[in-house]
Amino acid sequence: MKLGLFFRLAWSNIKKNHQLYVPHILAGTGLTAIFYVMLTLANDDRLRKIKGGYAIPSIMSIGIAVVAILSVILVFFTNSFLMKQRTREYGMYNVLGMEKRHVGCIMFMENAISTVTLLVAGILSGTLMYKLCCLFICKMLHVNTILGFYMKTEFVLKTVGAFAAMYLVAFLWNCIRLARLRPVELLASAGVGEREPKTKWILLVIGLATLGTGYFIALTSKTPLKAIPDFFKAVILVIIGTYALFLAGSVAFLKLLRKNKGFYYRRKNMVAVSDLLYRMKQNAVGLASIAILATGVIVMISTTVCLYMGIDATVKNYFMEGDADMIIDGRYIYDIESTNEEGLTERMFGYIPEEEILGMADQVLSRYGAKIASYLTLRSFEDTICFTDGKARLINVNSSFTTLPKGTIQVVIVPLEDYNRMCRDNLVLADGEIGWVGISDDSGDLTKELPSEISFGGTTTYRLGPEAKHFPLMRNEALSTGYYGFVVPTVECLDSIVNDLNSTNDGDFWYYNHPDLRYFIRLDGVKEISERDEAVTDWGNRRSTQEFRELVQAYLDKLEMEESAKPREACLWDTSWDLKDELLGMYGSLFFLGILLSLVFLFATALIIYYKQISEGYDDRGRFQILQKVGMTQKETKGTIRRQIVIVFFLPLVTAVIHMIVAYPVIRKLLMLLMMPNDKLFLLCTGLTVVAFAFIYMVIYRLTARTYYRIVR
Amino acid sequence: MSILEVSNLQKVYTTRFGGNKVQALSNVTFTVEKGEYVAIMGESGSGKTTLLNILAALDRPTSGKVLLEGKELSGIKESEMATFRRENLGFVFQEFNLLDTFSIRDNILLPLVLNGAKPSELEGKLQPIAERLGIADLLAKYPYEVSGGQKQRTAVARALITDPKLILADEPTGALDSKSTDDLLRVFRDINSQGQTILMVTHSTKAASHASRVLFIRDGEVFHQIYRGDSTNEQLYQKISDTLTLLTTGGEKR
Repeated sequence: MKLGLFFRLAWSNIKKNHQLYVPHILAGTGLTAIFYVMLTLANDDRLRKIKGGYAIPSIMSIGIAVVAILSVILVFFTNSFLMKQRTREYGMYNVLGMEKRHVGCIMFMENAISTVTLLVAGILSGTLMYKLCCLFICKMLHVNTILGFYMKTEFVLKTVGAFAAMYLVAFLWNCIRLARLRPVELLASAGVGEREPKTKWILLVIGLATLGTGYFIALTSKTPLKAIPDFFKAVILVIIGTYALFLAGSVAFLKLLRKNKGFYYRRKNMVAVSDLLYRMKQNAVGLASIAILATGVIVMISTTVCLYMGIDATVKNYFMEGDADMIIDGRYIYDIESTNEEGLTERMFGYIPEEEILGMADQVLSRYGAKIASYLTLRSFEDTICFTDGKARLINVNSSFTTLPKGTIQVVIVPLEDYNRMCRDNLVLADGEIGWVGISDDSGDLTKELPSEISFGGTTTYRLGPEAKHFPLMRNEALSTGYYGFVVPTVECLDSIVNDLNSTNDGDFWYYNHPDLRYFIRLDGVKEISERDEAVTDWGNRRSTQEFRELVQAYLDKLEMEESAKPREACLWDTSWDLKDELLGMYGSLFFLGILLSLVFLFATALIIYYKQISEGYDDRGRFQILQKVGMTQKETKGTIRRQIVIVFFLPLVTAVIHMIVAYPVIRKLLMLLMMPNDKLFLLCTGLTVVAFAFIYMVIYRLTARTYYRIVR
Repeated sequence: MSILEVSNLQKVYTTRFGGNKVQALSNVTFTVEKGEYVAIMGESGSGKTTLLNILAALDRPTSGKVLLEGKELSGIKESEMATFRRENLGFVFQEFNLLDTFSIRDNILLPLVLNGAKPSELEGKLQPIAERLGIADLLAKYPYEVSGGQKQRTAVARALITDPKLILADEPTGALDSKSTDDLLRVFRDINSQGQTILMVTHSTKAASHASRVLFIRDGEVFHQIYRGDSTNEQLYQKISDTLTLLTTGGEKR
């Protein structure tokens, strides 16, 4: 009986406050749905089995963590906003003679109604959304669509449990607030004016320092490999800086404007400046959050789209700029257990004869209806070298290095014979002469950087000779040093240079380097093999790969070697179709995660903006009524309102764009690590993302501004 | 020369669905001379507020005319109305209507700034008025930091700063304690003695007893008026009380 009454009261309260509850329920529905979708994506076995699907679970698990954290924040944000808006109402119930326990009951009912609604709606829409997601993922990974609905009670229960728990905690929090509530204070507090915000100088300094440092790190990050730690440092600093500057910087700036009498005492500025000052006090945190979320969306979407769109270019880049369909490596490694006292194992290299290895390759390929159409042999040596006064030494590049010594370059050394074939060139080299070419954007004119006589640690010296043609090889640009191709007269020269270089190793390495021997192969029947060659289990395990590996292993087992020798590694078998599928799987999942997270971020943004509009609307209404009484025209009032809203709205967007511009170089370097050296594509993706985001943001702005105007008028 | 001429003012409100008509003002005619201090009295529902709204150009009469210095209010375009009000009228409200986001100084300067005054002229106009009203020390404070009386004096300063032709005061003492009321009425007398025309709507006999003339409104018509003549505040107070008694007990028009 009594319960029915509470229920009816709660229901009518929700209806009366639909302006507050509808967004609250919508946001909850969205969060529940996305959480459910991600949870299911991470655990759906059917997805794991599709080509490239191996990456989905691990990538989605990251997403789940992010969504969970954001959900907690948002649930508490909406809850505290609702509570703040409705405290007066609850106080009134108390004044009118309801006990707090009864008010608590009403509150519980309201919470129960809204939570049950949003959970049911969330799971339902989540199930539908999941179906759509599967379709979308299959499209993205270029595989046949998975049919049928997929729903597991386990995930439903987990999602419902997690969110119900969050809302329950929020409710208990409200109860504590209710218990502390003194209705008399509440009714009296309405007339008290709000204090003018103080300038927080310390916070301002902290903000400037952190933002400055963050920007500095991002802008000066030297190499792609260092870009990873730099990026995360910069992100954290910039987040702190953004919050601090929105809180303190905005107030300090506006106060400065107010001090400038010539500026402040003008019709257009006076009201706007002082109103903004108060607005900033209430909204700095919300606005900073929007700026951060907006930056997050822009970064996520632009990078993941860029990676996804660049897959073909990346694959082409890897396979001799599209001239090859696969690469196999004729080199194998074996260990010889040493008999010396230290008991160290010696690592050795050997080469499988050309006809043998190509024969094995043909054997595998023929099973899939493909065969070698043509191939190109490339002997090469690739490493990081430091030149001092024309003398080279090897540099041990590991993750702990901070700065590379001056004169460090990366080189690919290729014998003339292989070079001329690879580049379809007719280069002629004199004895002891080295042809060279810069193959990355950072490479300058080598003849200016190095003396004309150079040595590689041995007795022989070489002269820098003519400039060669661009090498169509995959470049490792992780170091951002100059990247050069060297052409040496003969294969013997290559061997002796590698030997010489190995002698410069002063104990930094425990192994010796050997030249690579790679076959860049063009196939007949790529289409056939790429369709028939199935993924076996996880990462890169195609059936053809396994078959080739088994053949090589069998061959190595039959080799006569020293007794203690153990052949360790089968040869490389890289195929364009496998790489493409791997990248599709990885970047496709990343792209998809980017979309889902952006959705959540957009929810958060819209919610913050909407609630901000409402709470400000009520605050501003009184102010604008006074202004009109004092003699401001309707037109002027509207202009003032619009100017303020626009500033408040576009400040976060502008901040996000500035953040993105500063982050651009460091993100570009990160992309290089992911084999994505295509600058133009990234610039295009970033530009389009910014435009698209600005558009969506405008739509949110339009929708919520309407509510604001309705309240203010 | 009369600064304000109100003739045959009529205002009829129609309810939302056009059914009932309510006559708020039936026939109001009076004039205010330059430098006069006029109080308008009447009970709730007598049409005081409607009259004030029409005088303030916030509302338009159904018929009749309002002339401010010979210029007809209804002839002013809607778009120019706010400017007209800002330049010619000063307002003092019961609830002060000060902006919390502005300091006392900025609250007073607001109308000037809205009028587009040069920033360099502001201080010169502000200082004498602030001193006259005894709020010169408070200029840097905020409305929530000062008393009700000080707030109302701020509002008066704000009304005065544009040199309006007429000050319209709507229950200016309504939210004040008795001491602040005395202070404010002294301020009104003071500015009136320097030539400022004031029209005050009130139902406080005390407030009205400071005026040079008191108009009584009943049922949308000017029912009676009393000139101060040579009487003191106390004598006028007595006359007003008598008239009010007569009004409430239903006397005939004189």
